Amino acid sequence: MRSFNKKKKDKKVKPNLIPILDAVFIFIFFLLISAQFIDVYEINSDAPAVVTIDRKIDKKKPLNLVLEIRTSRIVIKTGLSEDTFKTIGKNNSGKYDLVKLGEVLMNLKVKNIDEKSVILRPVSIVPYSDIVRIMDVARAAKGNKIIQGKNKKGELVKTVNMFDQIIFETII
Amino acid sequence: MRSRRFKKIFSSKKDKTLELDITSLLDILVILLVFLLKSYNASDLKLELMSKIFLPDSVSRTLGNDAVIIQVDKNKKIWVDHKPIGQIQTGNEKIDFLHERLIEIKNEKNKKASKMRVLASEMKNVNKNVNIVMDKTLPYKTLRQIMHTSALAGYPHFKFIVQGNY
Repeated sequence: MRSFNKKKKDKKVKPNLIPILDAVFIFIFFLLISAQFIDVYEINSDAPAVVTIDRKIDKKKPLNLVLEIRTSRIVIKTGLSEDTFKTIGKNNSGKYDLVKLGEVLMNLKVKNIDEKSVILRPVSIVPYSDIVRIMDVARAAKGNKIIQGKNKKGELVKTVNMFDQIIFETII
Repeated sequence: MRSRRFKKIFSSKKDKTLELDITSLLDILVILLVFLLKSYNASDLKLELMSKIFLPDSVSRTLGNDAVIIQVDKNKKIWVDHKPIGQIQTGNEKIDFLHERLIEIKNEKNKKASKMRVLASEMKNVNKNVNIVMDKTLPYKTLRQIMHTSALAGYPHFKFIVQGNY
C-alpha cells in the first residue's frame, strides 16, 4: 500500500507545450510581416473647392478662421472681411507660442462650436515641421480636453475636436 | 542469470529519453512576441522611407491608408510609389514630371476600377487621396508645389504622413 502511494507521487504531470509553441511561432511570423518599425500617422487636408450651399441665411456671421503664418508671428484673422483677431508671436526659444495659440483657438471654438474649418496661409519659407505643429494645435485641444458650447440652435454640444478641417488657401 | 542482466542494461538505456530544456527558448519567444505586438500597426499603408527623410513629429493618431505615396527628401528629390521620378529644380507651382506620373497612375487605377463593376464608384473616391511624405526641414513652398501639382492631377485630398513621437 505504501509503495503504491509513492509511485503516484513520483509521476510528474508534464503539459504538452508543442501546440502552444506552434501557435506562437505562427503568430510571430504574422507579426514580423505586418510590423512597422516607425509609427506613422496621417493628417488630412483638402484642396480648396467650390461648393454649392443652400440659400438659407444664418443670422450669425461665419467665423472664417484664417491663420496667417509668417516667419516671426501667427496672425489670427476672423470674419468675411478678415479682421485681425489676435497676433501670436514667438517665445524665448524662438518658436511659435503654440500654448497661447491653443488657448485663443479654444476660446474661439467655445463661441463657435459648429465651426470646424481653418484656413492656413503660410509664407513660402516657413518649415514644414512648424506647419505640422500648428495643424496639431488647431485640430484638437491640448490633452484632448472636452470643449462645450452652444450651437446655432441653442443646444449644448461637447467635442474634443477643434478645427480639424484644414485647408491650405494657396493651392489652386 | 546472464541474460537477465543484459536485459536489465538494455531496458534501462531505452528508458532514458532525451529531455530538451526549452525554458530559455520560450522566454525569448515571449519577449519577441511582446515586442512585435507593440510594434504592430493595423494600417494598410506600407511605407518604405526613401533616402534619409526625417518626418515631422505630430500628436495625430489617425492611421494611414493605402494611396499614391509621394516622397520628397531634403534635396527635393521626388519618389512616387517608391520609384524615383526626378528633382525639383524650378520654382514653378506645377511640377511637370510629377504631374505626368500622377496622371499615368490615375488612368491605370481608373481602368482597374472600371473593371470592378460594383466598387467602381467607391474606388474612384479613394483614387483622390495622396499620401505626402516630406522631410521636415523643407519649406512650405515645396509643399505648396506638391499639393498644387497633385490637385491639378486629380488628387485633391492630401494626407500628410507624420511620425507619432509624442
